[in-house]
Amino acid sequence: MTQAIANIKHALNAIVLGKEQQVEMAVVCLLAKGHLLIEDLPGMGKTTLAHALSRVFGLEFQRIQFTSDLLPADITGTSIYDRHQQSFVFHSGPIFSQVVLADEINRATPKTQSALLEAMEEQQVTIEGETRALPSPFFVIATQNPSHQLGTYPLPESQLDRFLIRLSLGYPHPEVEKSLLLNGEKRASATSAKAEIETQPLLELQQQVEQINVSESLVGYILNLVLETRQSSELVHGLSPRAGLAIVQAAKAYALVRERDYVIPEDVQAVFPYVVGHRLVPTGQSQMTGMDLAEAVVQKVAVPL
Amino acid sequence: MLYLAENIRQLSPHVRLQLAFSQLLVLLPFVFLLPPQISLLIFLAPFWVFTRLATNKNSQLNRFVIVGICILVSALVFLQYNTFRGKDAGVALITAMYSLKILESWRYRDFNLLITLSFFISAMAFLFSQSFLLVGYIFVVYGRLLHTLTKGNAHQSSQVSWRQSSKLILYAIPIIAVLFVFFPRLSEPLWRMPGQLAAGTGLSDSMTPGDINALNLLDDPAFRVKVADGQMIPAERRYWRGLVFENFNGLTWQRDPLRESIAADFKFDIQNAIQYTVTYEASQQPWLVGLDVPILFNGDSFAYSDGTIRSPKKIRQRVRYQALSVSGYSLEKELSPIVREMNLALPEEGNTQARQWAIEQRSLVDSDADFIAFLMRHINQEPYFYTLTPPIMNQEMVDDFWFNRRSGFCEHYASSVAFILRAANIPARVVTGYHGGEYNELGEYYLVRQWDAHAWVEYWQADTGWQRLDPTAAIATFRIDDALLAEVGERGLLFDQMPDADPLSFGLFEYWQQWSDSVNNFWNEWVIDFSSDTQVDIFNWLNLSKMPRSLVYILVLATVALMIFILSRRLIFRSERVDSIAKSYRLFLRKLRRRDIHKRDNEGPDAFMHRVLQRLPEQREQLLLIHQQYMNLRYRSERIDAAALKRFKRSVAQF
Repeated sequence: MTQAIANIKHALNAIVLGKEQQVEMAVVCLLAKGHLLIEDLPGMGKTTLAHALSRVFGLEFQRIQFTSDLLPADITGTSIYDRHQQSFVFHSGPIFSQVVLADEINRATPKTQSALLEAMEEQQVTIEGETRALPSPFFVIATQNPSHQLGTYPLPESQLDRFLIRLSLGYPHPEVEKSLLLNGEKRASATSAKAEIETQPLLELQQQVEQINVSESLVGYILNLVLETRQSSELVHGLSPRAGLAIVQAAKAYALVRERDYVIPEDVQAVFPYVVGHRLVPTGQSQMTGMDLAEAVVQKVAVPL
Repeated sequence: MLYLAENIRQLSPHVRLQLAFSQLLVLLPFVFLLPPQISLLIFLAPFWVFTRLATNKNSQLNRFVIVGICILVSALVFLQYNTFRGKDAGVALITAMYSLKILESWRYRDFNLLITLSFFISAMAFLFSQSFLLVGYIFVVYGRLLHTLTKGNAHQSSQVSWRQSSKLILYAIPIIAVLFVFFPRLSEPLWRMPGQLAAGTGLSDSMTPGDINALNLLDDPAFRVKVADGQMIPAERRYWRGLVFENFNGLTWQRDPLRESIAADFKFDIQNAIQYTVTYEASQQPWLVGLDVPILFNGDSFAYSDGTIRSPKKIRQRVRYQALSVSGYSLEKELSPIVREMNLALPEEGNTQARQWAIEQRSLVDSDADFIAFLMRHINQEPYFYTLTPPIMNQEMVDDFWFNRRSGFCEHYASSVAFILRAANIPARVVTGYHGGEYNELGEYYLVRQWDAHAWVEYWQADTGWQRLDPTAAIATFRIDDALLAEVGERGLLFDQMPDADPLSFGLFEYWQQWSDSVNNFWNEWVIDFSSDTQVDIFNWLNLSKMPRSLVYILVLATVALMIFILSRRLIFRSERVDSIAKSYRLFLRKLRRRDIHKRDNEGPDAFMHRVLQRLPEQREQLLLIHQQYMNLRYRSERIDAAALKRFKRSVAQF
């Protein structure tokens, strides 16, 4: 099993160069049954990562390019009259897929965004009164451009909360970029990468995450971190209990990736900025991003002995 | 949470109920200290509010009604004392106004004000009494006030434990004790309450029948005696000599001024001496007491030749002195002519019947000793009664008492017997003092109360000197006023030679009495009488005065620094519950700190160990073992495995 995780990481790192940490977090997110939000400028490799993830995990993949005129039905699907059968036949939308890449999610209108986000939360969609289950595993990778760019509808906080982890890839290291430029674009290799794991073992791995032990002392540490965000004067409001649950879930998956059957404070510290970065809203005066603030909280709270 | 300003925030009925109850507790001691009418007055308002709130009824009063009540109460207080000045009236007025404040306490501001006032009002009880029982009670009240204060400030839903306020009170006690002992004291109080009389009664300068009678109704302690080597004084020897009267004008006995000029010349055998310490209560008189016959005194007191001791000043506050008495010692083996004349002198006229009777009876017997034995027999067999409520006697007091009324108390008997002895040409005089006293097993001292005040007679014989004669003791037991015996049980000791009491055979009540007097004595000695002198004594005992000044400064600074350190540690580590795993791990960290490896607070154990291994590669195995054991105990296992914990502790110990 652990060998499988190592293989997955290795294969991903061969496609997305020099982003070991982010790749690891993406794997953690998938193992923790969470949804992933990748936020970065265009052309930084967001789609490549999403593509590579679905290929390497051997999952069925659909891509939705969000635009301002995209409608909910374009995502969920619609019923069309079939002349031969003399009835309406449901044509499922791109959301009926194990991995959905929602590209540039913040360019769509809030109405369309919420259609996707509802599906993410419920793992089912209701179309024309009929409830249809989504496949399992179901994993949404959304990418978004920084919200200060033109033509964007920033996701509201309530919807950001649905994503377990938010990543930002950032510019590659010059060395890495050099090799990238020398070897040409790797997108081709992302689409042709072979699966490193099948669906059944993947579901078992997700099961294993649930069995990772979280000791009382560690829960105390997580609580202290959460309480610190609630007391901080640099934040508009603190973390919700759902955020606390997300931290536990992500830390468990991280422990599994690190080949441990119990969570240690380092796991929490590693996932904390990625899990809470998009849930923390700095006050007006603060120049820091949510991620920086999360790092500051980790620096401030003592690990219980 | 939203907090309104204290003058807007409403008090909840529950908090008001608590407040009224606290007020009742604060006012309780004043029931014993103020007149009953005033006590009733100050209890009314809180009690009314308390019962109204407890039964969920409206306790709101019209503003004008409250003003009316205030004026009425002030008037009642004025009627009681005819003034608002002075201690009693002032205290009555302020407590009454304090009690009325609850009627208009609706806002949080009033709550704060009332609690603050409560602390002050409670302490006012010390103007009347400084008993240790009151101090104990006030501690309880202060605990209750702190509790009410916490409760009023806490959110309604939160539980407020008694423990918190009790803890605060307990923390205060050592601070009080240190400040009490070390805070600079003035030798005299800076101010006195107007109209405050200095307390204390005692033997008076002269004896007219009725004087001691007044004392006999007081159960106040007169003095306490602690014998140096734990020796017991038999009940029949417990005559505490006070004053000697040698001058009689037919009604009143007085000290003879000539006595002052006669030098004392005591010769005694040290073998029979009893040494003891007397703690004498304020008496407003300069006279001191001692076990019959007191010989030596310490300090600047003056001993007269008749066995009387006089302090240079009047005893306005409790004094302590040491004295020496000799068993069976008799004063003035040789009587100088002046003294003899002094002790035979009778008033020119009056009481002729008694004079003649004395001369007649003396002529019937052979010797003075036989005459005295006859007198005692006479008192015992004739119907002589002992009572504290004697009938009114006419001008010829001795005649009227001896032949007609035949009932009275020690002063009548002593006065009459001394008169008759003088008439029979035997030198005699009256001695006042105290007789008896109860032994306190717990404190190992004798307690003599004002109701033990007594008068007896001394007569002089050529070979023996002055001898004590107690005519009251000769009265037949059955002729002692029953009501008196019931009323003043201790008086019985005078007449029946009772064995010394054994505390175990006592009832609980007697035991409690002994215990409380013993505590009171300790309290008086160490708290109430703690003066600048005692303070200096303690400083000397601690050798503080000999210490160099810089050392004292350092000592004080070190103490303060230590207290700040302890407090800050408590504040910092308050929330940290330390279990045994953490304790051992902390020990491990301390050992690493000695090797200059410090764990950052926000550093996880794994990351830390990584750093440690880089610094101490040679101890890799040992470190990894400790690390693995810690991680397993702390994060891996769901339950603490005792054996694993033991192994972990051992590994840390060996490191």
